[in-house]
Amino acid sequence: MSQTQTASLSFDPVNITASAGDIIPVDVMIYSGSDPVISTDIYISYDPSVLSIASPQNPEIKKGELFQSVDAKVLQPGNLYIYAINPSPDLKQVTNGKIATIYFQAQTSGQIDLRIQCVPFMTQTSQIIRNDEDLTNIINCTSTRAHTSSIAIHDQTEVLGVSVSNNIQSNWGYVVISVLMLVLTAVLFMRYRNLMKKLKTK
Amino acid sequence: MPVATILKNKLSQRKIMLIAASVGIPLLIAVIIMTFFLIQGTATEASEEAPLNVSGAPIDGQNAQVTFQTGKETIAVVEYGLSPDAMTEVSFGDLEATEHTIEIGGLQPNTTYYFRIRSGENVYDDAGSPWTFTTPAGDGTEVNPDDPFPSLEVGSGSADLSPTKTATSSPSIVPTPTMMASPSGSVTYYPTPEATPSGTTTTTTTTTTSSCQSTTDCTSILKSLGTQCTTQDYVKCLLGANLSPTAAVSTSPTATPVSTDTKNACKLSYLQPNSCSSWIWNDVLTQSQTCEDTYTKYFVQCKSTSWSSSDPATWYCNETMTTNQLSLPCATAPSPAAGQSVFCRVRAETDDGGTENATDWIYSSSSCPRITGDDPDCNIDYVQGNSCTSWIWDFDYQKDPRCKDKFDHYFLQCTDDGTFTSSSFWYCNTTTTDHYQDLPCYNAATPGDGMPITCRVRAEDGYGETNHVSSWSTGAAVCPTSTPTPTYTPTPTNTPTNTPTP
Repeated sequence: MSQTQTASLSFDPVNITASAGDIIPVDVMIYSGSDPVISTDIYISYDPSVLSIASPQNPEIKKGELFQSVDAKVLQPGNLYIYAINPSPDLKQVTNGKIATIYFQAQTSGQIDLRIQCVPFMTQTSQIIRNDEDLTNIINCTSTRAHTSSIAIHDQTEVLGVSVSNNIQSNWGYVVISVLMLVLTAVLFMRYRNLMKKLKTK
Repeated sequence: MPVATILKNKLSQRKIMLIAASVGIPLLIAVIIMTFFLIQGTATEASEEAPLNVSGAPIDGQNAQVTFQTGKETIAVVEYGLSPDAMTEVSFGDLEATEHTIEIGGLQPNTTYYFRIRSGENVYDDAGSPWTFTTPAGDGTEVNPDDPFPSLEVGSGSADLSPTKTATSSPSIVPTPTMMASPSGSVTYYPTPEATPSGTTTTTTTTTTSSCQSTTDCTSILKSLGTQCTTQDYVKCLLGANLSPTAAVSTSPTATPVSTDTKNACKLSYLQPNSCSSWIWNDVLTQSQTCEDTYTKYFVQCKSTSWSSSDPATWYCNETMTTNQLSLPCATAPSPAAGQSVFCRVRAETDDGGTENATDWIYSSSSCPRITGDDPDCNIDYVQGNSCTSWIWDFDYQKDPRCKDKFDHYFLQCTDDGTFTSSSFWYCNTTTTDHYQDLPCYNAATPGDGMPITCRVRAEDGYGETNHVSSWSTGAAVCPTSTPTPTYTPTPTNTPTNTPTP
């Protein structure tokens, strides 16, 4: 395993519930740790019978703050390509954050997953290019493929508006650390009280 | 101020230990818990990605099928090739699944293929060796479905290799080529799966690494992003890197020894001299995909003595190159002289070079052409004296392609009697690369008035010995006799003289 494959792409939110006809904004996120990123290619697949891009010829996309140039193409129904480039990488060290927001439109009721295509050796595969001499692709495909976004679309009478939930599935480490910090604080507080009592007694 | 109060008081050693313990113990517990989760997660993920029940079998002479299971949904890649060291072709399912059926197309009949499986970020094989299957002879003849794995060779590794009879019908997801226009206006075919997100059976698309257009036009690359080019190509273009655009994913090559099979398959079959300074050999770097992926350059050596000789030699070439043609001399080496024998050898090498991974040498030799007395192509047609001190001969001689390569210089001799012996009176005995010469040469005597002069000239190669020369061409002239120059004599004239008058 290459030690350089540390970066990944993901969606936000990871669970979406919407009604047919709704416009569904989905953020495409990047995480590269401390590696500076100069560009990224993102191939997103979805079921075109359930979800569509409003204007396939000119996909509606809102650029994030990380990259100077972001654009999207619908390569074919159900296959969206997004690229983001920093032509002047010295101006900004891109690492983590939002690349862009895509606006999908719910077509009919159904349950689909937005997936980021990332397969080693495939020609049309997502990649994250580190700003180094070799322009190394540092994407971790396993991690990236795991970052799907599940979209449930119901008939218009069932749900009003779009509801979302964010991903806490992979945050067990943070939960454990938080609990331990609470325990530590409590112990320190107790020790502090005991010391104060002893000092007063003396 | 309780904190200030504490600080003012001298803490006992016991209190310090208590404080340290109350801080250190929770931290230790946290580290242990996090390490546990980390190890468990990594190990579980890796083990679940490992392929089980791996089976490889031909469908017909050109197609084969690899099936296996994984404990978790992954996109698995089958890397295959004609030798264990050259599994350079890949095929994979484009959806994550636990039941994998990967079809491989474009195979050669009656050929053994080796394969391994890349699942997740790891590569799996049969306990250190790749799995194999052998395609049947013939074209398009399907293998007996009652014998779905007729040629599976099972190794002795730890992987579970129980060939089970599985359905051989085509999976439900069929890749169909879809024609679409790229932004640059060119029409390109893309094998596009009609994807449905669910399902456990995967189908495959045999990938061929397509590269971005070999252009330095960054605008064209920008227009082709997503189809033929990647942002990596575009950034390279913007940065002006002198690099050819590459496919989307680059893999880190591993320095594995090249197998004997690959060496033999990529062995050079001929090394042919077109002349002693122009050599050519079969281009194994493009001979097959295996050779192309394994070998990247040639190592060429040429010298003046045979390869079995230990005599001192003059080297004409000793370098690596990527073309299958050679012109001597290489770099700053000397040119082989006319008549010189040249011994060359060449082999294909990997990027890393060295003998271990190189193909066997292929040898050949040649001799540079030389001038001989009976070589009609190199005879000088004439030599003539424009005056007895100015001689010229066959001035187009060097342009004659038949003799140009052999020629090195002319040898001119001029005497008074045409015998060119020690008893002769010599006016010239010199070599020159010009096709003319003025007499006398150097400090020889100047021909006198009315003296006969006979000159002869021949072409010589680099050796200049008797057997490396053309025939003499001879010409004669006589120096003109000097005639006295009339001197001016004043003619007396009758000039009137003044007569004194009385």
